[in-house]
Parts: sequence; structure tokens; C-alpha cells
Amino acid sequence: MKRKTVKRVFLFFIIYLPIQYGLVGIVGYYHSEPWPSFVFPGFKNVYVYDGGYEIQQIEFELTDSAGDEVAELSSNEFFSEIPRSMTSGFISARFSDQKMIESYDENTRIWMLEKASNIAGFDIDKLAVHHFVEYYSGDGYLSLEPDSVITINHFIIADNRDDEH
Amino acid sequence: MMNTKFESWIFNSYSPTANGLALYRIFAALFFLIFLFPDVAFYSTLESLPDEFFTPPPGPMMLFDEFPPEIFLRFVHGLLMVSWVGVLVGFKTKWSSILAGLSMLVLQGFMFSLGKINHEILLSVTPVVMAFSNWGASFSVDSISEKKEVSVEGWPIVLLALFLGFMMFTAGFPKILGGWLDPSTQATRGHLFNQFFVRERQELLAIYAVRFDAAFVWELLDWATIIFEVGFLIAVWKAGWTRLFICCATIFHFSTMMTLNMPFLVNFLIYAAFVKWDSVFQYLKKIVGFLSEKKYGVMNDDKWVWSVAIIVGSLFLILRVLSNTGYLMTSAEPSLHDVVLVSAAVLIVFGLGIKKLMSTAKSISS
Repeated sequence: MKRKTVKRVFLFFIIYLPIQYGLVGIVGYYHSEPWPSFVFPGFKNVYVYDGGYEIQQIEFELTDSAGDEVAELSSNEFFSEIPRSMTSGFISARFSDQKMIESYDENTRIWMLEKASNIAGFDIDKLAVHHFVEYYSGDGYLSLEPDSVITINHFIIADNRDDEH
Repeated sequence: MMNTKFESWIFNSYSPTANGLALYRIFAALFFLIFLFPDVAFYSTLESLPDEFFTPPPGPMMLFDEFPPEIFLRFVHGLLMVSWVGVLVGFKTKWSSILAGLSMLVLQGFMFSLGKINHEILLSVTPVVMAFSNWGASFSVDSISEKKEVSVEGWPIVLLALFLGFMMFTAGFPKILGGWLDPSTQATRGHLFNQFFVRERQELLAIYAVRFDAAFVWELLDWATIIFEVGFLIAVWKAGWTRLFICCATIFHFSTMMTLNMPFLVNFLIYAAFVKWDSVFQYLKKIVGFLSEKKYGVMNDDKWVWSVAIIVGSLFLILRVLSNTGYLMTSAEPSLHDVVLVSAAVLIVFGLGIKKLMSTAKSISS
């Protein structure tokens, strides 16, 4: 490649990189992070609240036909086939919004129930997602149990029992 | 004056040799083929998901409505493999490198349409940029078949440094806005909690780090992280500074692997571009010459380079097989090969640091 062309390539990227970063910020704010882009993850959150640490969690709740809640599975357990580095992003994109969950068609709900049944080893009639926040004071020798837990949201993904009654 | 400095930065920062670039090419290809290749099983997972789970990020993937058939992804996977093998042996190296980058970009596009982007674009960009360095000029099929001598270029390494420095900056800048520098927040510890409890990353030293309650140390880590990430952009200006920051990055990733269980192995493919491969070549030549002279006489360069490549490739393969079988550790991240490779890199960095200190002390005393 000619020296002049190489210089132009560098000039292009010196201008392009900050512009695309600005666009990533704007598009990311209104929609979600665009791709492809020249950015590394910012890990902006500090997770600090009132001198302690607040960690958002989700669990899938599996209920059998008798109405007994049979299992609470973490997103890594429920979607074990998805790489761990992608699970939490996938969950927040697909299961953090009631409107989105309500918009799922019958096929998706059946797929989710079948998946839950396969994991449990018997028929699951109700599947819900539980969003909660765990609070750790972080003082001294930390217990691995949270100091408090608060439910933020509880969305029902599929409930066959509604259809039966 | 400004123009001269700019030109000098582009064209004189790195002066690689054909042999040095070829060693990096062979290393990068082996490293990618054995450790960084996408998991083929994931393609059937993508195809099995309901179409409603297709969540493309804003960009070209929005042209699609659903995950493609598994056979398409397997085809691109095959292209990726063939092109990286082409890079390894140096067959049509420029085009193999570009194809390797593009096919990885296509695969990443569909994998990230699950709603989560892993920031691994340099995995696609690196072979494309290095294609223009003529890294296939030596120890390659091309060098045998082409009669005329090909000159090698150092500017692609500067361009990679610019990408890396800028991307590091984009990792550091939001942290400043997010409050990492506030002495009342220990954000590193907050992230550790998030990784430990939410993502269940609880291997190696994670439990000890979670229970380590010293706000001053955690705050120091918050500041060090930002200084390192933002400062990387300035370090791009000089090759020596870039190499120093690459050494810091190696130690940084080692610490994140041990505590947060995030080894960022992908980055090491790019970091390796900044190794003084010509010095590695001379060093290896000296060792091989010493070992083989009595037994085989003087070996030609092609012969010993490919012998070393086969040994390194075999060691990588053994490590990968052990890692996949879950030997010593689980096969999930961080796996055995993550731990071994990142630890080896950090040992090399410490070795180089000690060597530099000793030579500095020697020059002062003399």
C-alpha cells in the first residue's frame, strides 16, 4: 500500500473512532449497543447502595401440575447451553420487561415450558421469572448469604393451569 | 514538523522483519485454531431457539429476522477454519487473513444477536489488519511459490495499537462517569460481587477476594484500573510505552482471572502482535543451533521453525484436550487452558521485567 494511502487510512480511523464511540453512546442510550464497534465493555456500574452492595438477580420458578413450586433455577442453570459470558445479557434483553414477555407467541411459551420440563424431568405447568435484589453490607468477614432480599418483579412466562381452569 | 512526527509514528514505530512477522503469524494461527475457535455446538443451540429470541444489535444484523440454519453457520465455520489454516501455512496469506477476519465477523454477528455483545471485534480485525503487513513473506507456501521478494510493513501494528488504545479508553472513560473514582464507592468489589453471586464465577481466588474487606485496597484498584485503561490511549504514541502497557494488561488480566474468573484470553492474540518476534527468532535460533549442531549439523531456518511450530502446536493441543476433559478444573470459564496460558504470559512479563531491571542496574554500576 502506498504511504499516502496508509496516512489516509490512519487519518480516517483517528476521526472515525471517536465519532463511532459517540454514536455507540447515543444509540446505546435509546436502543441497545450497536455492533460492530470499536469499544470494550465499560463496566460503568458501581453496585454500591447505602454503604453496601446491591446485586440484581433473576431466577426461573418452575411449578408442576399440583401447584407446588418445584425448583428455582438461576439463568445459568436454565440456559446452560448458552455461554456464561452471554447469559446475563441475553436474560436482560429477553426477560426483564413485562411487555416483552407478554408479546411472546404460543410457540415460544410452549418451547419454554418444554425446556423447563426437560430440566425438571417431569411436566412443568407454570414457569415464571423472578427479579430480585440482594443487599450485602460488605462489612468484615463476609457471609455468603445476603443481608436482605427484595423482589422487584415477578413475571409469568407460561401457565398451562390457566388454560385448564 | 507535525506531519513528520505523524509519519514517523506510522512508519517507524515498529520495524518488524519477515522472520519475526512469520513467527507471530504461526503463533496467532495456532492460538486461534486451538483456543479461540467458536464452539460448533453453539450453532445448533442458536437454531433451536425460538425466532423471538433473535435480538440483533443495531447494525447490519438487523437485516435478518431470525437465526440462520445451522448448516449455514457450519459452512462459515468451515471457511474460518480453512482460512486460518491458510494463515498458518502462509498460503495466499493476504486473502486467507482477510477471509479469516470476515468469516469471524459473520459468526460473531449471529452469536451476538442473542442480545449480548462480547467485545471481541479485534479477533476479526487483527488478521485483516495484519494481512497488510505481509506476514506471509517468510516460512510460508507463498515464500516458496513467489519468486520476487516481498517487503514487510510495520504500520499495521501501529494501527492495531491505535484500535487497542482507543478501545481501552472506551473501557476506562465510562467508569469515570459511573463514579469509580468516588472514594465512597469500591466499584471493583461491586463487580466482584456481581460476578460471584449473579454469574456464579466462584473459582480460583474468588471466594478469598469476596471476603477481603479493605476499602483502601479496593479503592486503589478502582483508580489503578482507570489510570491503566485511559492511559493506554496515550501509550499508543510510542512502541516502548505500548509494550509497557501490554505488560500491565497481562498482569491486569491475570488478576481479573484469579478473582473475577474473567481471563480475556481473546485479547492475548492481539497483545502478542507487540512481542519483539525478531528477538524471539534470534533467541530460538541460538538455542536450536546449540542443541542440534552436534547431532544434525546446521539446520536451515525453515526446518527448525516448523519443528518448533509442531512442538508448540502439539503442546497447545494436549493442553486443550486436558482442558476439555475437565482435568483439574471445570471446562467452563476459566478453564485449565485459560489459567495455564495467562499464567505463562504473566511469568514471561515478570521474566522480562527482571531482565530489564538487571540490565539497568548493570548500566548504572558501569
